[in-house]
Amino acid sequence: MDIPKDKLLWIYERMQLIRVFETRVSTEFGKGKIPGFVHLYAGEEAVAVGICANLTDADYMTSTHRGHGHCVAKGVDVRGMMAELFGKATGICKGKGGSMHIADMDKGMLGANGIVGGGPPLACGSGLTAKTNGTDQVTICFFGDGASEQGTLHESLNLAAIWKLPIIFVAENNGYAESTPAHYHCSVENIADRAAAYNMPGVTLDGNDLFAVYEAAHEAVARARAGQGPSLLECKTYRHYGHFEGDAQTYKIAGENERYQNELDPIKRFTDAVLSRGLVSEAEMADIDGQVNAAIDEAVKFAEDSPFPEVQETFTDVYVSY
Amino acid sequence: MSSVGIIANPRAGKDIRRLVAHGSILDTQEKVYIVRRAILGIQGAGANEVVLFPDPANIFTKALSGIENELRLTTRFLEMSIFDEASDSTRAAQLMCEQGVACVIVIGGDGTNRVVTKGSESMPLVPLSTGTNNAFPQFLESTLAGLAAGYYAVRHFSPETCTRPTKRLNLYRNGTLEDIALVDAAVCDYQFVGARAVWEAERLKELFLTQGQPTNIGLASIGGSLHPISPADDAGLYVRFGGDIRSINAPIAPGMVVPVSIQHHGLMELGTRIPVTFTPSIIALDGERELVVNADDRWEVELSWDGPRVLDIEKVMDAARQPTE
Repeated sequence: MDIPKDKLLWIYERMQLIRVFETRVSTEFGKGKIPGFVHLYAGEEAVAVGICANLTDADYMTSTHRGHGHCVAKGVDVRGMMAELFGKATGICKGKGGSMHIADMDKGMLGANGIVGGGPPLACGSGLTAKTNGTDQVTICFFGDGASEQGTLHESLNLAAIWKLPIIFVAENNGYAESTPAHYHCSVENIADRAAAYNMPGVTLDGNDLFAVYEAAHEAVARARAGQGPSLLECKTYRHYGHFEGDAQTYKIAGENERYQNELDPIKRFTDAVLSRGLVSEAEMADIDGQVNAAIDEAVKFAEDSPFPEVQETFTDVYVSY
Repeated sequence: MSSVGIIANPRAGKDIRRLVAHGSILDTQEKVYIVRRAILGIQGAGANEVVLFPDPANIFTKALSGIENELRLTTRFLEMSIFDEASDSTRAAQLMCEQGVACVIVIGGDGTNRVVTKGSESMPLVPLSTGTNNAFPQFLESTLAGLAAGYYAVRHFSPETCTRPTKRLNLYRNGTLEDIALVDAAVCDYQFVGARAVWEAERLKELFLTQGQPTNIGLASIGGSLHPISPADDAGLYVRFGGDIRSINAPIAPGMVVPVSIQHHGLMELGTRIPVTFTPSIIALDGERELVVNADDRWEVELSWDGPRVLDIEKVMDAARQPTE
């Protein structure tokens, strides 16, 4: 399929927004301005954006502890996100979720998740909701290579298959579960190989190639909207940063980071492809770069200037009464 | 020393055609079993050594770990860097060739054989099908492939009698050889290489074939429906798509039989360069989008007999029945 120019520009803007957001979070975290932990998504932009370029705000998404990129790709406001990371009252969850629990129901973002493998059961819930209500909403369930060994994922794959739910399970295989290489903890080389056991299509993709991810997501989303059930897409990708900020990354192979940050970098590959085909101009990309940098500067200032939540708000919105 | 090589493509059988068509997921474990049987076949023929591609999926390590107690021949991994790219297979074939390996079993599809061919030079291939749309490799139990490859290495059978030549397509960009294909080169109007596979018939603009038979699946099936060309024929086929002159039904992917509009088709003669007329475009080689064709580039396609030599399994097995001198 072809991607129209306005969509190509949106894709570039979202990938750059994720990259600059994460780079800035790394800096601000280093200054001690962000409490708790942050797990940065830089390097994996083609996955989140390639998938979300096929969605609407009405579609659902479940995320992971490395969820900033998913949020940005789904359209969550970066000012609210940055304020959330800073723990401020103006944050998207009023400063009480932090990095690992950002949620924005208006965008169908059901939440980042501090529990590895916590997202798939939630995805079955939103998938069942859409199916029961007879809408054409799909759910994207992001999970990592570490979560691929969790029972929650396997139970959810089975549920989604027997109920024929409109879910696209997206394995973001960045090669390491924290510091453990995938070949050590995973019985199969390709997570998508497991799809056959759950009677659904499984595809292994170059997750650093925006176009490969976009095409596969386009087909999987169309299939789900048409009532044909779930799919499993495995995107082989790489995180430029460590598992968390402060991770010395001694488990990575010498030269690996450099290779992925240069020749295999998803934004560079996207940029080279669209420029060489004359689909987007350098000036248009430079314009976007300027807007993205300004947006992140403004988001940090907004977060810094915002107040912390009041003490009496501690338990508000934290527990839900049924 | 009688030495046989094995190269397996860890990526074969996993692309988007599982989603858009009805391709099977060929999991890595199945490839492990295929490799095990091939190694035991090679050993059964009496070969001394099997040389293995250090694939990033560890197919060979897993294969060996299941047959340690049965192995009598030497197993050796190539010493090479792995980048998890197609060029790894090309480099592996080059090293095997340099190290005097008699022949190499290739486990993959048309595309895998294409990249191995780039490095194999005169070393014959034993192509085993595991890919999705395959015309070049054959479906064969890997034990037999291993036996035949082993006999070829041990008995020093003549390449002239026990292998057969194959055709290939040479793709020239502005007069310089840029790439090759063993079965098909399809000019498509995709924007990008993207998910690589070709499954939308309306995207096809031109097609060059070394072979095309009614029993083929994939783009070669189009040739099989129009004007069958066998692997042994001194000709290829050129097809231009579009218009409403003629429509055929072709199985261009597993479970996907679609109408294809044919504007023109004709034989390709050996040694004649045919220009690519649809630009800008993407050219898919052996079923995978590969080359970006810009509007100001001049591309031509030529048919030749410069493809790899392929082991003739029946002739090898027949020769192996004869007592050794």
